[in-house]
Amino acid sequence: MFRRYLQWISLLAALSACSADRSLPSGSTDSAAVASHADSSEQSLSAPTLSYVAREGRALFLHYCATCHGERGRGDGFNAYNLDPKPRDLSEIEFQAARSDDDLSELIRIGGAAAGLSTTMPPWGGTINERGIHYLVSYLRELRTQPDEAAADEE
Amino acid sequence: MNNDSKGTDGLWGLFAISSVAFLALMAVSPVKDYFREYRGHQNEYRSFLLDRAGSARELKEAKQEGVRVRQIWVPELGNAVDRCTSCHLGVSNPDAADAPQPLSLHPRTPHTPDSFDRFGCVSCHRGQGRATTEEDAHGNTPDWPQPLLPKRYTEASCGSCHLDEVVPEAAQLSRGRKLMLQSGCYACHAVDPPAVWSSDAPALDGLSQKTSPGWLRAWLTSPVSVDQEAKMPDFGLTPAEVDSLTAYLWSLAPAPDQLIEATPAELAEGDPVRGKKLFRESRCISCHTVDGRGNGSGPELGGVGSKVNQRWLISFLGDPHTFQPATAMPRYAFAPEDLLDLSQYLIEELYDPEAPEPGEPPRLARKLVQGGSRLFARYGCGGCHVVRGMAKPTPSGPDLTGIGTKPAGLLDFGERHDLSRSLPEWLRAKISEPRSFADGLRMPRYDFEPDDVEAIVTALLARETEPVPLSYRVEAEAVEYSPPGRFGTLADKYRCMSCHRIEGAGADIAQAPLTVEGSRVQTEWMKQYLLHPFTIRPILTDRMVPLRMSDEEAGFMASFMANVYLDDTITDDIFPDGIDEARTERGRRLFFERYGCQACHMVEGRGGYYGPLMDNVGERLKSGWIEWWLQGPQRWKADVRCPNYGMPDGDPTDIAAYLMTLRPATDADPATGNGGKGK
Repeated sequence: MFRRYLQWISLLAALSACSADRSLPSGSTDSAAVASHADSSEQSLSAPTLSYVAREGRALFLHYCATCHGERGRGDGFNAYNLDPKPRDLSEIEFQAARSDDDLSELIRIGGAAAGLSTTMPPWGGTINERGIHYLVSYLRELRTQPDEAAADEE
Repeated sequence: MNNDSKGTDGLWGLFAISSVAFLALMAVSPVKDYFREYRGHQNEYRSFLLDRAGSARELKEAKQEGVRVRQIWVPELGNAVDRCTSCHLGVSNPDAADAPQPLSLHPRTPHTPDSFDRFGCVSCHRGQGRATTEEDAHGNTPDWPQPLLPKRYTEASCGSCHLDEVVPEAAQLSRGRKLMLQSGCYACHAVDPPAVWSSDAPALDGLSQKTSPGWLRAWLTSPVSVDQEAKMPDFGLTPAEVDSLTAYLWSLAPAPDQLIEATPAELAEGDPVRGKKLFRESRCISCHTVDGRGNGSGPELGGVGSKVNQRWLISFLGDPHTFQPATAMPRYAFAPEDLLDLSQYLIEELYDPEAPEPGEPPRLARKLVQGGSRLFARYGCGGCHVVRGMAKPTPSGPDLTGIGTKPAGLLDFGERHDLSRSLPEWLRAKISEPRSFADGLRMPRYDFEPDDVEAIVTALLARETEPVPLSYRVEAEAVEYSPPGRFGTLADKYRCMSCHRIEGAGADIAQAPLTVEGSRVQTEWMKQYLLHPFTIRPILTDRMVPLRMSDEEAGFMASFMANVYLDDTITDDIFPDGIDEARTERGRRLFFERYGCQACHMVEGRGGYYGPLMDNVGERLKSGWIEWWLQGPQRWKADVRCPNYGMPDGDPTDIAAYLMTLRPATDADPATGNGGKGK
């Protein structure tokens, strides 16, 4: 009986050895980590940089929107005083909370008239592509008034 | 049982023990594999998907997610094999937008999440694609030459395929490339393929006619202290070096045609009040700034009165192209008394009381001049400044080809022990403090803003050693166009292409290319506009300048454009039989009520201040152009802000009908403001 057990064990061991380790070579030997340069330089930079998506959104915002909505989205752009109704303040906390990303994208796409708002907000869907609108919405979120800014405004 | 079996039992025992040992040895690898990071991430991702599963199908799919090494193979891009997706599992799954890292969706860019198959990961992010541990993959192992690019420089990778200066949707890279061209980097640093750039630094012959020795010394010592917006960097010259260079520059004689006649000995006194009026009328600040106000594509003029000599100024304003052949400044047709008055105003009013004293002319001792000439060569001044008869020097700084992928181990950090050993950090320090690495370095100091430094680092990181395969390369064909014949001569005299683009060539300051100008505007209007330009778009600070051209020249240029710069697909006049009133009225309602055009366009005394004023547009534009424009304004120029409304057929025609009735009050009833009928 004992011999039979041994045979089984040997057979199993041999089989599992054959099927073991199909893992891929990792391409480099294990080695001690070097201090993460990328991360440390990321921290040493003082300028708080926007993400790529928000940066592209800012470029579009400054090109197409800021003349009416203002550089910070406060509704105080160069062209705002000619408009009735006035452009919306996009930085308002309540406004930002009330509108989902999809709402904002849709509004940019179809414009004010189609949304039952003012005709002076044009539809941008034929001019800015879907990706551009996604960038824009992402930048709009960056414009949200920060709580400390809001407190400073009230004072 | 027999005896034989007793003897073999021992052998079997040995075999069993060795088998178990062998099994244990073999188990090391699967056990190690079992504890790999990606396994944990994949289990995590699986439970994330199970939590999110909204339908039976999604649930089934989530359950089927096995644990395995995942990879993207891109044979055509250097046979790249990127296993990053073994941990970054949700990069192309829109439902993973809010998943925790490393599982979340990749941000949207022009190539993601749709084109991972074409680009893989490493081609943009660098790092080690074949690795399956974070540490190895992110390339933080010694001797792995291309560690992960810090996120804020990822745009550099757009530049490996996109070779033009301006790369759409890569604002930081484009800005960096522009800054490198503007700042004269390529005057000293060669690159392969060579950069196409031109310097706008002034030619230096006859400098002694133009300025004072004191001003020149102050400028050489520190350009920024003379002009805050100075483009010339600070070479950190010692006083002795400044003296030598001043002597050398002073010794450069003017070319014969630049020689300013000294007679009459006394300059007549000009009228600064009239000069000021001329200065304003000529809209000099469309290009120049005065104390920082104005457009800024030309040099700052505050303090110009204490910088230049009045005689030189008169000659220069009369014919800028003789003194600075490459200047963007047009040759205004000023009369002699205009020149005198204008120069009087500039000299008297734009005077800087804190400007350096004129000082004594330098001694032109041979040794001093020769020393200056050597310094001129050593610092590569001729790379930006033209001196007649002197060949452009070959770039003497380090070649920057492939700098963007240079392994950190090959960089000379010199005395900068404070820097972490990474390429971006090294580049950043080189750009902001070029001489802090060692004594005796020649690179001058620029006053870049922190954001500018980041942009330039991005542009430099894009300079990779290995060119991408041709099928990946995106590069616009080089455009060379110069207008023909007499129009070309006039366009050169008035330097139209300093601001206007024609057939893709020229600068775009005016934001109004002239390629199809003949299809756009009416010929008579164009002629009058060339003679007396006015503001069409109030928002633009760079306004068309009155060039004081003759009636005949204006007429010629207008009719040339009307006959040559055409788009044959656009009809001139879409209302040859007149415009009926119902159409006009419908167009008017569409303009105001449906499309809200008055948000940007002022008309009938109300509306926005963004687009061109629409009053009198009926004598400016051609009716066919208005219709064509409204069907898709971006066909004229991609970045036009007027939205494409996707108007249904008929609307553009009706609006064009309405706009064509907006004409000067001479043939209309001034009381209602309604224009007359279109022709």
